[in-house]
Amino acid sequence: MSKSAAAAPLQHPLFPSQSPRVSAPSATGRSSLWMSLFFPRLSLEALDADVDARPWAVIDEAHGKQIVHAASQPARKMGVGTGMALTAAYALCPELETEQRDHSAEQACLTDLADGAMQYSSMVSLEPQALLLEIGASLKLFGGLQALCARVKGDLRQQPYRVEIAVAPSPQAALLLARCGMQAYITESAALRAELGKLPLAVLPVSEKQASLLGKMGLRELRDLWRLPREGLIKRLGLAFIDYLDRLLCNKPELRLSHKSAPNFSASWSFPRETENVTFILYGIEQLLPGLVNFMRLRELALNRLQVIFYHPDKETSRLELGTRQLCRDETHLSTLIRERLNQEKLSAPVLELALLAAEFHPAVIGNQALFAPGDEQDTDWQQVLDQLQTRLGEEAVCHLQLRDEHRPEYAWAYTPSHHAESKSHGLLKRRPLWLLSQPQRLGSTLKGIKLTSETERIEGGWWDGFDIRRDYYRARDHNGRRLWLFRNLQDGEWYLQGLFG
Amino acid sequence: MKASLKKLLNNNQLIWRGERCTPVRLGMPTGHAALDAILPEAGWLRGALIEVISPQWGIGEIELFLPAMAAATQANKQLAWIAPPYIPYPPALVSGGISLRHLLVLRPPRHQDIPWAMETVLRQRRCAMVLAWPGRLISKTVRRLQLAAEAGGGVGVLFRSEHRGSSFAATRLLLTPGTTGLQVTILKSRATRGRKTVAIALD
Repeated sequence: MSKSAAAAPLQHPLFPSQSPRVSAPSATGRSSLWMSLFFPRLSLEALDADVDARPWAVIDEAHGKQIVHAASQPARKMGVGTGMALTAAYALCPELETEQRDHSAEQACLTDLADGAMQYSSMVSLEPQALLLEIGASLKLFGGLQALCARVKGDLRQQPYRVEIAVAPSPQAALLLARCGMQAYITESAALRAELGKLPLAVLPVSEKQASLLGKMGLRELRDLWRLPREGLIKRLGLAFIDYLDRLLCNKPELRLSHKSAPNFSASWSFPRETENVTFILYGIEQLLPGLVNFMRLRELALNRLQVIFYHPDKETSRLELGTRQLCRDETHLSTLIRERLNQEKLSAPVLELALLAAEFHPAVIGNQALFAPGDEQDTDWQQVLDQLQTRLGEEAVCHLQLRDEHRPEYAWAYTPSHHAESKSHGLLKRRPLWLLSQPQRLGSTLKGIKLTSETERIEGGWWDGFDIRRDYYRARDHNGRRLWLFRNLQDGEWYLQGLFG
Repeated sequence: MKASLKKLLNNNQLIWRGERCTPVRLGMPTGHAALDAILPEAGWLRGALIEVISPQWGIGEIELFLPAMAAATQANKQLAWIAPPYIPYPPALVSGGISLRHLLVLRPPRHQDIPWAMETVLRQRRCAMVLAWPGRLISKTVRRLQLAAEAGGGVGVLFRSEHRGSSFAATRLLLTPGTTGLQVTILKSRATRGRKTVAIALD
């Protein structure tokens, strides 16, 4: 029998050694590449950053029994291992401390890590105990796979997490390789078969029944699977299993849900002892602000609402709300505003801890910056001054005026928080006073010491919104020389003062 | 004066004679020719405070500053009115030539914040004119405001209902209603001596 004839029956139609299709080409035409970050000790690290200080284990419940989910290095030296019953673990290591597994803490750690991973890829997906990053699109930016991996490793070294990294053309393969602790960087889908083939079958995420079945079939490694006929496998292990193998080998495209980090910033700072000193408190805040600014810079966001929460030793927490008129992510400006508010509002009690919270973010609009534009620079300064004024005087106190298209004098204007829409000046034919009284002042039915100096101007109408008016307006002078804007209300015959020609 | 001295003075233009120096146009034109003629620097002094004293409002005190304010907003400069006694009425402001987007109105809820707000705004180069109705002020505060105006280069106008003693403001004006307009008496001004009164016609 020739060599090629011997190889032929082993060649499986479904798992050809040369993949006929390029794996899931993306919209840009390049094939995708996935990096998986697997955190083998996440359940421990989520509960205690200093994992190996003592023999301890995280306990999970399975089939109504307490079993060890993960154990620290000192505990493992005593023989405690994953999947062991708690009683057995105690027998091996009597001084073992245990903690219940905290899924939400793990998830929170993973979300934090995913937020951090957004800097390497716009497509980060959360997996059980792992993250998946689509890095095919990032390679060029970061200078190739080697450089990117080095950077990810370098950044993660500063975190208290142990991580296994693997790269593969399919998400499932990357996850599988990382879970096995194989530092594999596979970029070609053609190489997947050979690389994955070395793995023992026990690493596959299959049910116990399927695992025992695979054992009974005399299979040990994944490469044994490649050689089996597809129909037989479907019959024995089910379609889902074959589907998984297809996705593993990049024969079927797979979609992942991208992690969208909800922008929500919170950071806290605690003082060694409670303090009322504004300088110390400002120092604490200034330590947190760079984190906030960096948070916004990574996400291209800016804020206009910020909260500082003060925790007092034996009083309810107090808070300080800060608003800016324009979107802002300038550290010094925020610091100035907070200082202004702190100087103005006295703290209710000594502060032990403070927290910076921001949940309302908006996409930062960063315009092109002109080389020579002193006007724009002044405008930023002016906006910052407005923020300062608003911080000290309150939001109501800083306003602009707005002209409204309305014939009734008291509705022809409004205070607005900012000059958003400038109404065009409609041709005002009649003279209007520069000062308007907030309420027309009643003068009585006759005018004493007041001389009318103009013709009558009748203003009426407004039945449509319930504020119907019928007035005859005059300009006048009183005996003090004030120049008045009066009207005679034709509905009740009384005279009113509504404005002054200031 | 001796005839020879008079002759010398008349023939030699190089000799400086305090009273008749030609006005240098550095100030902010007031828009009222009669006033420009008697004010030093032919307009409102830039980077200085003007104290306006009038027992009552509504006699044309805003109209006095309206042309200068309109010119400033058209030059893309900001205006600020702080604690105005009444509502600045937009229809009249717009017909006076003021662009409303350049007019900031501050209404501090606490009276003691008015000087601070005025000082903050005056320090800005962007702001050409600040009008404030501060009520009571101590002279030290007026001094601070004068310094802030010098730093920012704008004109600060303090409207006050009474005047007592001296003031740090560079210019002090007394306003009285005239028969056809407004009587402006210059109580104090840099480089001028004695009171001068000018009538400004307002329709």
